[in-house]
Amino acid sequence: MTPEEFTALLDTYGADLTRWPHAHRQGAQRLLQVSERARDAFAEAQMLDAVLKSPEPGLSSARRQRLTDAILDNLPDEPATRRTVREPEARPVRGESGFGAAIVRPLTPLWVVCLGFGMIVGVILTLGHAPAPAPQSAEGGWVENMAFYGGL
Amino acid sequence: MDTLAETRQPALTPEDTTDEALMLRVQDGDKIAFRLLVGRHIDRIVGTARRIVGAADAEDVAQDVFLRVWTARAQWTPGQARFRTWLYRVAVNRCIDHTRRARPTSIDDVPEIEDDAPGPLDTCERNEDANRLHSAMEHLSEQQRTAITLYYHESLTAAEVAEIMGLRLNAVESLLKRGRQKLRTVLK
Repeated sequence: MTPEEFTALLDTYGADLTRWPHAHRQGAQRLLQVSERARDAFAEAQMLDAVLKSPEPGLSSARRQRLTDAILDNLPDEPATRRTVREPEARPVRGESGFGAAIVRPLTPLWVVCLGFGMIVGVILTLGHAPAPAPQSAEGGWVENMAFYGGL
Repeated sequence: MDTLAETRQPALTPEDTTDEALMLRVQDGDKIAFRLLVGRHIDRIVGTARRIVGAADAEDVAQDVFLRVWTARAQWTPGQARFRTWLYRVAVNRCIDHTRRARPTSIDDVPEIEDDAPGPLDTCERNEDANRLHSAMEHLSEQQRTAITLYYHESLTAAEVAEIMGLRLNAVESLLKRGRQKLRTVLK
């Protein structure tokens, strides 16, 4: 291992040789025994390691308690979790209960038939009285019409 | 509601004391277990956030991290990822979100750091070292800062850092190398 390779590895993995890949550890130790330049770089790297590993000042007990309480107080109450998934509660539909339900529910097929009949009549009347289509060149085509009616 | 969620759970036993066991209870809505997890990790998460986003916002970010852990608790899968790795992934994501929407802060905005350390001199020295390091870290890119913090401050392996950051190992090694080279110059 050359001193340049050693410095590059120091920059990547730091001065704790136990954190280096196995393949490079022995070479590094051999180099440290023979190269003063490598030893200097290693000493410098150890100082930088110490700065980087220095513990952050801890929270005071009171501050930790306040922060923990703030977190617990702000937890949302949604219940769904991995193991206890609960179906959302069904929202009551108007007319689903009481007097409304007694009338609406038995007559539902009748309402559907009336709606379908109305749609068919509407289509027939529209086709019977449809105006002649305007020439595309004069009116500017469907794109302009769509734009006018807010389709775009 | 809270009381109900807490009282439904059986009492915590010594087997429940690992992070993973607590997290399983948290997934069932156990807020007592969650309080234990928060108490266990909050100092480290605040410390990590101080290095990545700065001291001024670290506690806000930490609060955000644990709220996210709670709301995303169903996403943690036992056996797939250690809780600690998953927690750091959440923390790193919250830090990134924070720095993307945050304004730059000056050192004057940084609040004094409270500490339980025995003496004021010791506290002062440690805060001075921490401030010097924080100033130097501001010269790094967000990714370099994150990689350096996780590798040195949290003593994670480069492979773990890669997993947390969602990067390849060689990308993390490159971030560590360039970040450290820059710090070496700045701290001289």
